[in-house]
Amino acid sequence: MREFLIFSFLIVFASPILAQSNYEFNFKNSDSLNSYIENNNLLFHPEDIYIVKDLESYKAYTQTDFFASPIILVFNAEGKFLENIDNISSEKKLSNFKKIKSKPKKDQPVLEFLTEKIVPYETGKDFQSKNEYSFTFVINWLLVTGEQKSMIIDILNEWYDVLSRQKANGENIRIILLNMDVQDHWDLSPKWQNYVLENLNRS
Amino acid sequence: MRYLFIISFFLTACYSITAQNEVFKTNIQLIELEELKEEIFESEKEYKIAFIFNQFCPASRDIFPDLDKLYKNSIQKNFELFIISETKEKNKEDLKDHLFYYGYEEPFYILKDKPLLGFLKKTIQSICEGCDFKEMGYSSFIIFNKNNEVVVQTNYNHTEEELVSILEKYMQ
Repeated sequence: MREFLIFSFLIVFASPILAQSNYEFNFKNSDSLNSYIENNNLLFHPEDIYIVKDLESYKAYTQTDFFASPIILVFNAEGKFLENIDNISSEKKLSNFKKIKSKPKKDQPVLEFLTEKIVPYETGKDFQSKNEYSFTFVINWLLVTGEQKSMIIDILNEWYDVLSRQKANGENIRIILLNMDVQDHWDLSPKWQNYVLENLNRS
Repeated sequence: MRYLFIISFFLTACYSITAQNEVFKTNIQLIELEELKEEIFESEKEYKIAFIFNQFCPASRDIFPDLDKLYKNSIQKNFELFIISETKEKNKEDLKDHLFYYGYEEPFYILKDKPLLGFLKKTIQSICEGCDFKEMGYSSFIIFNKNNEVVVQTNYNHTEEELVSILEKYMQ
């Protein structure tokens, strides 16, 4: 059974391709997230920040095309996935929602697939699923360090800022700032933590 | 310590929350070149800054966040800003999207009678006869004083740092 688990774990982590190359995964906790947000002036509203619930959820998440950062996943009012927005298309699409593709992409998980795997960073309680928004924007982000950090922080603030501006102007949207790092609160043994990191950082 | 951290985190977030709740409006006006000239010269402000802008020009895009910061942080507002855009009238929505994305509230002017060729020449010569339009490009600007005398005319030889430093002096 254990071998099977290890094998499936390897398969799971072999596939994801992150937009940010050379990112070194490390387990994070609330202190590391708080200090990263504060030290880098990320203007995130705490209520909009989400983290992945547990290792099982994380595994499922890594198997999808959604596992990339920094990127925005857009879902329509029915929770169907419409498209990815990156820093090339963000200006056009985030300032004018008419330019977002209206036809859902085939063979992609729905929003619920994602939301049942994440929890609000502030409370840790299960995601309150209300499909009452015209669009849900999931901004994937990581605690990036190194040369790319400043550029990525600017992009994240830019995205969050423009979406918040849309919200303030009356657009009925939901913003999910999904931190994609592996979390300390999953309470994995040191052996498992090492194993997860080895596989994540290898891919 | 943990509580102190959480409190400081919330305080930091406060500014962004306030900013996010404000309704944002872009400020684009369609105008004839002659009307623009009148607006500049009839302005009672101590300094009148006419800034040439093109949203697809990297130099314009690079300098604009600094200009925006100066505009938003200015206390005395002893100046009036006229951002003259080369955007075509029919592409007003594209400019609006650009300004919305970056949160630029500055007054932008799209010229209704924009010439097919020689936008810079015609526009610059119209508002400043003595200015050397050949040395000017997008992100160049002219600063007039209250008496409509040219105080500064920048050109494409100025570095971004030099341009920002000039703006800092006049956008108080």
